[in-house]
Amino acid sequence: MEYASVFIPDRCIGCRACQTACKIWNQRPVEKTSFSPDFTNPPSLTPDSFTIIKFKEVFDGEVKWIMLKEQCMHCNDPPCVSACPTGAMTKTEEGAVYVRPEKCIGCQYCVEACPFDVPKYDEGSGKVYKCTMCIDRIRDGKLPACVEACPTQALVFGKKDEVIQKLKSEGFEIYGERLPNVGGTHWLYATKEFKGKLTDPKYFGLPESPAAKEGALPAIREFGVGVAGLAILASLLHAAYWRAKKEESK
Amino acid sequence: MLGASALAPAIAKAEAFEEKVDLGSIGTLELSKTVERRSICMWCSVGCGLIFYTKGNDVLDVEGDPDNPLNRGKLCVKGKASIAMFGSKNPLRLKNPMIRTNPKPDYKKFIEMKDADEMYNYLKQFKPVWKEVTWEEAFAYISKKWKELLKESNVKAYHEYDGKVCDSKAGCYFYEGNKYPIMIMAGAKLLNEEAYVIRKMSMLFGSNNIDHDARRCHSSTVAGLAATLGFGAQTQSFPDVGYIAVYLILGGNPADAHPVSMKPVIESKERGTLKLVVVDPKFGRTAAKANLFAFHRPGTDVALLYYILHYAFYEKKIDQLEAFKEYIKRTNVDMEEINEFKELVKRYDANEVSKITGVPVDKLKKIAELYVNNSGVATNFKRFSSIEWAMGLTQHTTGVQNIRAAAIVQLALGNMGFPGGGLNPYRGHNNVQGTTDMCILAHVFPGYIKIPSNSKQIRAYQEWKLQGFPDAFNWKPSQSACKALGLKCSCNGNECSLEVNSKALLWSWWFMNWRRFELTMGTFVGTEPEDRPWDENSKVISDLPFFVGYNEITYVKGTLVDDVLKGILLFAENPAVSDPNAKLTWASLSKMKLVVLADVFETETAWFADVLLPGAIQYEKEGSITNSNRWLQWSDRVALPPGDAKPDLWIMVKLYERLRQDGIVRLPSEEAGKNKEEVTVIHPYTKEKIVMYERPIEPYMDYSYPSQWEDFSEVNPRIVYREIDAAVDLYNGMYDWAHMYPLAKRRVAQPRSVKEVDGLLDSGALKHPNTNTPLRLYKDWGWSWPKNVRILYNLWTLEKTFGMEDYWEFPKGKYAVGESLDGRRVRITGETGEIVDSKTGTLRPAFVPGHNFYLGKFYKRAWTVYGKQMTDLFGGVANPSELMKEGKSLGITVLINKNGYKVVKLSELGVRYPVQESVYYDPEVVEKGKALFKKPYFVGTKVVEGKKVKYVDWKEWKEYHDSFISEFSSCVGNDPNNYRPCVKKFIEKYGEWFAIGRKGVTLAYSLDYPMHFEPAESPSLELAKKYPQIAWRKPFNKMFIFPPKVLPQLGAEIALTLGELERQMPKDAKPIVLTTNRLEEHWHTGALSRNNPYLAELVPEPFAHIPEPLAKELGIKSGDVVEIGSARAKIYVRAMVTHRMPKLDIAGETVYNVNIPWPFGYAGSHRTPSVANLLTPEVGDIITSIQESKVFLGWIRKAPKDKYVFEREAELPNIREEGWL
Repeated sequence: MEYASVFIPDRCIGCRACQTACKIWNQRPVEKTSFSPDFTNPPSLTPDSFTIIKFKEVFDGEVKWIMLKEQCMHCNDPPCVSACPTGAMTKTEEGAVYVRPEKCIGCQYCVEACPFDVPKYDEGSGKVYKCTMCIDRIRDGKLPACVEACPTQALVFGKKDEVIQKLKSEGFEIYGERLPNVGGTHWLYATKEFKGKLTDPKYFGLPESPAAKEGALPAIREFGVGVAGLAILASLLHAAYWRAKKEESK
Repeated sequence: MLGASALAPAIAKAEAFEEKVDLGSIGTLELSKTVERRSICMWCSVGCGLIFYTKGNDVLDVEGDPDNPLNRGKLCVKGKASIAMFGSKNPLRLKNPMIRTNPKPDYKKFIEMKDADEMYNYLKQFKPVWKEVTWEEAFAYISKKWKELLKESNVKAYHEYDGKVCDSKAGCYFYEGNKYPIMIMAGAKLLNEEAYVIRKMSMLFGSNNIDHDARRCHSSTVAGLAATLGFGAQTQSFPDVGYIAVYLILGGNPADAHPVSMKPVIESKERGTLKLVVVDPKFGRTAAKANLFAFHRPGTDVALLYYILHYAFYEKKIDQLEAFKEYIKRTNVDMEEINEFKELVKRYDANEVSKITGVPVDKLKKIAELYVNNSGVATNFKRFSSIEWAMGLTQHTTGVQNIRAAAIVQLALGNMGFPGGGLNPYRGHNNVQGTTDMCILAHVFPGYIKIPSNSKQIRAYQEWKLQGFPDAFNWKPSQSACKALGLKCSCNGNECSLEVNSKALLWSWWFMNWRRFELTMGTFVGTEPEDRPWDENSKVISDLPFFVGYNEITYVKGTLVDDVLKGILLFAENPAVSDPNAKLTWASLSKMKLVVLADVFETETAWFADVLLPGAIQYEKEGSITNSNRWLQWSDRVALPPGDAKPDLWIMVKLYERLRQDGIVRLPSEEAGKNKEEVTVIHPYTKEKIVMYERPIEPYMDYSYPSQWEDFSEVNPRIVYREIDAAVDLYNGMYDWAHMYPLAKRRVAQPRSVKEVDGLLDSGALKHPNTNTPLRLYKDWGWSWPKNVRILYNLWTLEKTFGMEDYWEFPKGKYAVGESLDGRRVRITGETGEIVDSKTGTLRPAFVPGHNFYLGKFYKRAWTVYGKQMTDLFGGVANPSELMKEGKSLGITVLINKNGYKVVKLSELGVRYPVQESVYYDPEVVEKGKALFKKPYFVGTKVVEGKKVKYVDWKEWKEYHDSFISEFSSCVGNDPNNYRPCVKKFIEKYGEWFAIGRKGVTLAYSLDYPMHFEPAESPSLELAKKYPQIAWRKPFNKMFIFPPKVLPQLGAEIALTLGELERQMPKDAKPIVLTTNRLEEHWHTGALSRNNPYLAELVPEPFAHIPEPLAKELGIKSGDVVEIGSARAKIYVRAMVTHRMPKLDIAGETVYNVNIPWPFGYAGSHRTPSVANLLTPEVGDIITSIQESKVFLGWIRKAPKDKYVFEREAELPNIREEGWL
């Protein structure tokens, strides 16, 4: 059964209960942030902040203040899973994409592969962290932590097809149902107030065509799980190669 | 609508996978192995229910309580971040009592300094060095110092005859409550039980020098609304907001300050039944959701509201509507007076209001049209427009005027007393409504009860007691009593008949409450001997302290100028950051010889403390808490306080015990040698003296009662809760004495059946005509004052909105009600509220036929009926302990006949629960409850500054108003520097401000209707001439015009005009209008939130919102350091350059508004010396003295980076590494 979470900016008041609920549930440490010119803090996703609310002012004579929730999009065809050499990046039946920490070797292929710039590498533990869609909560019959907290129902959660059908019947425009390259996502964005503006760079600026980044490799795990050691070795080599290439391109 | 809750059940457990995912260090909290504990949120006043998941004393997670109708399972970020407040999680929490060992700063230094950094450099040298002590040692230290200060101040209970305050030849015994040398400030984070006990303590000390945060946040709301409608509280509830058709948010920002309150707003807005209109000087989170938004200049709210009325009267012609004519009968004005009022409103047309406010004319029209067309009178009471506000309306010298204007709009438009209509001042702190109701206030006793000011009032009270404690309808005051209280009586000799007007009703209510205080606190108020109240040789004794005391704004004068206040006892308050013109607070606290602070962190105020006592956060204690919409809920203990920290109630009572033991608490009655009261009544016909019983006089403060916890066994909040029910009429009914059950504990959100009291309204069977959704009141969730009424002034809902009527049977003799109800079937037209009946022990309707204005203050009492029966409250109480702990009173009554009497037990009359009393409210009482559309705040004729001043209403003043304005304007001319001398000149000439001399008398405006007055610091000379600053009406404010000798600096502390500011302003700076406010992420002074890592992560540093075009002019970019200065001081913060701040056109000139969040200070984590309140002026509202922190003049310029001081060396632990969770 596939599930989906939806962010509805029309209803978001930017209180950031979601951001802190995520941090508390996932036991992530608080970060040493500094002044933010627009309230967004931390300014982007980090290994310790799986979701943030981005604040943006739009000014055309009159001012608008929009809020955009960022987190893993949980793609239908997640490039990060394809890129992961060890099978640490996993997609579940529910549609959640999460990192199996014991398998993550910190190669950061997923970081490079993600068209939404979501997975973040943590220097301390040498692993990648990101939103799990609260797969642990979902399997325990709970709402994702951020959805559970949201006071104004700017976040909703349910069976993916039902959610989409309901939103459509209520006249919402949906982002994420179908998307090039990733097939669609299990985190959706829906709006009535900002129709046509979800992908408008002046407003929410969600990518119309989330491009898989150049050089993202096919799954190395196809080499066979049985030769895990080999795979890891290979991945390390690949990682070294990848980094070198990255340096070159700079 | 798509709702999470609707979809949640889709994830049934059965469908879930067996497999458990291993996420390593992420997530996977095993909540099934924890214990759930429910509590109420400690942050704002919405009153959200919380469920904590605990293991022993540790707390793992928190979620919203899905049963609670206020938050329906949801929380904001602060609610979520609550888990980091517990001692087990937060290393910065105080754990032990401590005494200071190093010296304190010299108070004079602060008065000289004007730069935040400079002040901090000085202050740092006196950072406290603490010595840990035991509670015993701490109390002993406090007691010793306290005694010394008392001795120094020569506080005395005995007063000789002076013919004014004391009219007894035998002398009077009372304390002057404004002379007590130790001020008390006890914050709005306290629970009701704590708030009541601290006020009770001050009363037993003989002090009215006590106040709290409410003075600085909603005092103008309380004064404005209470005087107009009866009570100063939100009339709607948060769930009720969902029924509103047009919601005008003016001077509030609930998405920031009360995030969860936005839930019904967002839902109804999406449903299309609610239009959200926001008018604000800053575009905040609420504005981001508005259907219609306008920037306006701060301090111009009356003008804006009057334009709505202008539109209503002159375009919509509402006064011709039948609904208007009908509704206006519920107020104290007739159509003729409405016509007079319209003449005032006429001055506020769209062009004029646009000039004052800066809102474009077309926008004004749109707002007014939307608002008026959806009002009660325009829709025949089917749809309603409502107003929400917070500090944006209150923190002005015109605060009460702003609130009055809002109330008048709602009265004129018939928007009050219906579901979906009303007035919604959202209170700040979680329990500020409760602490206000318990009156931690210098000018009232618990439940808004009058403070006595002379011995004649005490004599009148004693006479009232002798008449059997009657309601106003059964009261026959003597001529002396009529005179003493200013009652309207027609007397034949000493036989008077009383006109039962609002004054009589109020005095009988105050007296009833004084009696409640006497019986529950074990004190005495009256004469000795009791049966000769007017004998000039009888002693007058009052254990209630006389006179209004120093408040949270004026105490700096009490310390620095008057030298009355020498010490301070603080609970959960941080005035060093929260009070205006902070340097004066710092100076006051430095000068005080004893500063005792109980708090949970070492706050900025702690830097001035001599003794620091570790208190508990709300989740570590238990008690009742009153949310913004007057609902009482029970907040349970979730964990124990850390170390040796104690609940504040425990600290208070233990401190009291020590002070009492050391002879520091001594009642006037004890001084007078009166140790018992002969409770006496006089037979109305035979004049025979009947002694009903004797009661010993001894202050009662024993709350020991068994509990599962040791600290609660010593001081049990549940016993205090009962005492509040008995002592405070406003809260009477919250305890069910028949079943010994606190109704605040009820947790039933299900509908009532239609047959129950208010059942029809709460059954869900009626659909609201605006939303077409079921109407709910949630009458069984907690308890709501007064008498469990959920919508204040709800007299007509059934009749007018739903076209229905309901009935209630009072079978003969069944209930403890008077003849007018007994044995009758009565019609119900609105919400009645309810009382647990003392005969049946079941609920019966309170206000019949519904709840009108002022109800809860006006009452009838069944057990005292003139010529028939006389009864003390509860049938008499000889032992408060028995009352509180066992629910027992004496329960006796005196039955009267022409020739004799009989003392009988109330039980013989079928009364089983005498503590429930016999108050009732019949249509005659309800009819008296008229709203004061017109309400003069200054009345009569008196001598001010040697001049005879007559205060006149608008009706008369309108003839002089324009001449006053033109006389004043021509004095000022075009020179801003003339403004101050002209104000001075006028005050010296006429004795009073906003006044003019005519025929040998000064005529001064009574302010019976509000009008626009410019703020004390006005950016526009033109407007300040046409709409002069009213601030100078208040004696306290005149200190800045006529500075006292000891503090000549005050003469330069307020810049009345831009001209005055520019004299102090650096050349490269630009003048601005400043406002301050808090943020969604931070709590008030920041003492709680800056020490909470989750919240500080979101907004770590201090900053100011700066309008983009202004920043451009000054070359300021986001993140730059700016200097912001005012006539008081200058501070350094970061710049947030934004289009969310306005550039306004005010009377042809550009005015920029800059906003500074104020939750930053120099103590704890995430600290800066740049306390925003260093900038704010302490000029106060002319009625309540709330400071004008929402509009003042200042300047801004770019500052060097090194001026910016920000530190966070007190690192909070890394949650993951330290295993916080």
